[in-house]
Order: sequence, then C-alpha cells, then structure tokens
Amino acid sequence: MNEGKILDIAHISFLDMIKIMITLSGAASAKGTLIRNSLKTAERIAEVNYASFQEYLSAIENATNPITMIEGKSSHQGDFVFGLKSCPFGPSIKNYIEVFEKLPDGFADFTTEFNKPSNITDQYRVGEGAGVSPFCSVHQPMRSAFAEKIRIGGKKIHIYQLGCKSGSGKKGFAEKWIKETGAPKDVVDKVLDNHMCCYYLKIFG
Amino acid sequence: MKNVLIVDDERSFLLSLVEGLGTYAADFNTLIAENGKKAVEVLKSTRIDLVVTDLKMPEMDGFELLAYLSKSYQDIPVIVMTAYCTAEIKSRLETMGSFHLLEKPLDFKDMVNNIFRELTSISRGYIRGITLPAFLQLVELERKTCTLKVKSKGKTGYLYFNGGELLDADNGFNKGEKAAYDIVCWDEAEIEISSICRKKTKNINASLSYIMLEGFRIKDEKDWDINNKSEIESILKTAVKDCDPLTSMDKVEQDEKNLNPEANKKEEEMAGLKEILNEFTKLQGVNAVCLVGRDGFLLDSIARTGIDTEMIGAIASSGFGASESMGRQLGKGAMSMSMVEFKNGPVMFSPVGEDAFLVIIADNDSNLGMVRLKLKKYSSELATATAVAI
Repeated sequence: MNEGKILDIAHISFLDMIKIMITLSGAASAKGTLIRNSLKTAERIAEVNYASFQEYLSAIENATNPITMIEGKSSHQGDFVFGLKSCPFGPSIKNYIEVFEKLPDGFADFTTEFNKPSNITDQYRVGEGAGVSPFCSVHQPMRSAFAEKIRIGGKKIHIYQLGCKSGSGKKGFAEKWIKETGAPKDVVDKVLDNHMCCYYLKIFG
Repeated sequence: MKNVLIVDDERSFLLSLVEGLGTYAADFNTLIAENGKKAVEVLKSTRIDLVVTDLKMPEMDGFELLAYLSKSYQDIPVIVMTAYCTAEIKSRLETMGSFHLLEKPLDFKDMVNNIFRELTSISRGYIRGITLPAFLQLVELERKTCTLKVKSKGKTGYLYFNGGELLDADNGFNKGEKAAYDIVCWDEAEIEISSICRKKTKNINASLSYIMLEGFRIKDEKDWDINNKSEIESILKTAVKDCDPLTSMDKVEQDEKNLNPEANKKEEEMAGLKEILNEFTKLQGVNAVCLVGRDGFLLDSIARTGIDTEMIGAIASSGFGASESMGRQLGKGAMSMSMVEFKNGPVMFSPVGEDAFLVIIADNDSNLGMVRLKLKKYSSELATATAVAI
C-alpha cells in the first residue's frame, strides 16, 4: 500500500518553533537560545584525541568523528580547509518548502542577527557573514563547540566558519574568519561551488 | 633607594625574609621591626616607602600600627599578612585602593611581586594608605575585639567590635545602626584602636558589609539631595503637573548638566563598565546588576554570592524580548523599562543601546525611584561602555 509522502513532524515543528521564538521574544533572543542549546548539546559529548591529523581524517571517513556524526562527512580540500557536501538541515528545509512553499517569515531578520558581530559568535568563530539561514546558528556553533572536545596529537583545535551556501545557491562569506585564518577567499568560493558549507581547522601548538 | 619595613614578631621569619630579599638589594632596602611599637620608632627615624605587616604581635599589634599609619603616615602603602585571606576579600580591599593582603603562609615570589607593585605604584600616583572601610573589613576578617575611635573633620565616633562583630556605634548624636551608617562613610578618617570592648550588649543586628553598603547609599542620597535639591523640586512639580516623570527627568538632567558642567565632565570621565554597574549595587536592596547582550549572553555583572548571572542572562533575554515584542504588537513603540514584581522583590529590565539590556534584581525594600534615576543618569555611559564590551 502506498502511504504517500510522509513529513517528519519534528523537523516541521522545529522550523515553525523558530518563527514562534522570533515572534515572542525577538530575533536576538531566539538566536541566543538556539546557540545556547547547541553549546549544551556539545557539552554532552565525550572528549576524543586523535594521534594525528591523518587519523582525524580517517575518523571522518569512518563516520566516527563526533563532528561527522552530527553533520555527515566533510572532505579536506587541502591546507586545513574543509567542505561539507550537504547541509544537515537540507532535508527539513526541502520537506517544509514542498508543503508550505516558503520558509516561515522572520527568518531573514534572524539570519541578519546571527551575522552581526557578537561576543558569542566571536568566541566560536562563526557568523560574521557566513550565516545564510537560521539553521546556521544551530549548526555552526555546534560544530565549533564539538571541536573543543577534540584533540589532535594532544593539541587543541579550533574551527573557523569561512562560508556557507543557502538552498537557493546564495553564498555567504565570513570575511573576518577568512582574513584571520589566511585561507584565500577564492578557495572558499570555489569550495562553496560544490559544497554547502566551508570551514577551516586550526591545530594549536 | 626605597625602604621597605617588614613588621612581624617571628624573628626567624624576619631573618629569612631579609636574607631572601637581599637579592633585591639594588632595588630597595629591607628594614625590620618585631612589633608595632618598634615599627613606629623606625618610621620616626627613617623615610619608609612601604610597610609590610603581620597583624598578631605583642606590645603593639598590626591593627594599632595600621591605625597609627592612617593617622600619621597616610601616604605610605601597606601590605598586610593574614591567615584569613579569601579571594573575595582580597579583591574587595584592593578595589578600595587600600592595603593589599598577603595570605599566610607566604609565597615568597608573590610577596616580592607585591612589594615591587606597591613601590612602582608610588610613582604612578595610585590611591594608597588606609581607608576606614578597608580597616573595618580587616577587623571583621581577623575577628578582632576592639574599640575604634574614629575622627574626621571635627567629628568623633566610636565603633565597638567583639570577635569581629560590630556590636554598637556612637557618633555623639545617635547610637547603634544609625550611628554606624554615618561613621563608616567618614572621609579622611583617623583611627585609634584599643583592644578592649566595654560594650557587651548587641545594638546592631545588621552585618558590617550591609552597614557599609547601606551607609554609602544613604550618603549618596544625601549628597545627591544636597546637590540637586532644586532639581528634585522641579521634578516633583513637573511630574505632578504633566504626569510624565521620564520627560521631567530628561529636563532635569539637561538642567543639571547645564548647571553643573564639572559634575557632567566627571561623569564623562568615569571609566569602566564595572564602575557604572557598581553604582547600582550601592542602592538599597539591589542584589544583582547584569548587563546582557540581546542574545542572552552575559556581558558583565555584579551580583551577590549565590546568584547565577549566566542563567539570569539567558532567562532575562526571553523576558526582555517578550516585553519588547508585546510593546511592538500593541503599537506602544520602543521599550524604556519593564518590571516584573515577585513575592520577594522586583526584577527590572532596561534597554542599553541597540544590542544589550540591563537586568536589576532587587529586594522588596529597594528604592525603585533611585534605580530609575540611576538608569536615566547612566544610560548613555552604559551604552558607550557596552558598545566596547560587545
């Protein structure tokens, strides 16, 4: 028996919930709530140490890397620049638009708010233009916070969000983080031609 | 060459210090005294640039020495060695610009760093010497039994301590708490100390820290009243007339600025967000002041122990945002303040610039009028300081 297309109600509700949060307490507060929630999620994962960068890459390949477990496999583009083929929110957005034609109102304001300089986006090296939708405020800080639990050769790592691409193909670049990491913007642009998300991994020490 | 006087009754400790500090003989001379009395003799015969003293000593103890220094050598910086040091007290005393505390047993390296810091600060013109509030905190900290005779600008008052607890006070006009509120705020105080407390009955129930907080609040209000009496009358008249207190305050503030450019300049020169937040905590019944980004992440705060300011930021962000949204939905325009009254006191929210807001958590006995007044008074400085903080 064909049951037809079934939507994941949890996803749909989450998208609508963001809209409600924006309406009830404003985009800034909603942004803060989503970021805090992501950071709390990251608190719950165990710390892990990879002996080498190669081992870290292998863990991505084997899907055992904590970051891979939340967003899928990213690929190393060279010089510590990574590209992520699919946005983890892609299926939810696609489903939502199929039914309701467009994303909820207020999402644009939220995205602008996320890209504004702030202490928290500075701390996790996200936003600053790299946000293309409200989902970036969940995904980007979560990835950065997960990275704080990872060591490579016993050394701390940081993740810098360099850019992101929306479902419509519009690219967002974090000039601040591109400059700080020294990753060439044209490389980021090129990575985003074939990926939805681009980030930089820095190993300390 | 600068001279450092170290006062302690343990001779072996003194000798080992002299030996250790000998390494820095090119920077300063080290002189020693075994008690306060001998320290006074040294002070009278030699120019001393820094005193490092213990508190518990025979003949003339550290408190008596501090009292003597407060009277006769107000410019000499002091480092006090104590076994009852906590990070909070240390920071509180250092904020007062009074003496520094060194925790016993001593960390030699820490001591050397403190000596150099104090000696260097002489040329920087730091506030130094002994202030009455700092002295009182030390009496409480060391659980001292004593009577303090405090003199300031022709006034004389007495504070009676038993085991570090303030039992009574007398300023010649009042006794008990009322006198204590007055005395603790006296400027340029000369302190005399006697190690006897003849008072046995407790006439003061509040803690010393509360007495000081409340004393300075009352003093602030009095000063404000004196300086702004005519402006207050103007506020009241206008408020009654047009029932628009905020507009009235705007006008009065403007008038105040025009009338008192010096005060205005002083305000402009007031540096640091912490200092501004501190102005709010001086008010009666204010338990916490938090500057929060609109995203709910804390920018800065001063709060009574036990208050989770990070949590306040997160929760207040929703409350503040909800109030703003309500105003917007109802067509009420921009929000100037929101207050929620609970059984145990109010919580107030006030926007600061475009990107932050202030949360003030208070008790039922708080003076909300003063809170509002301070909010108006410091709104622009807060916005400027916040722009830097973000």
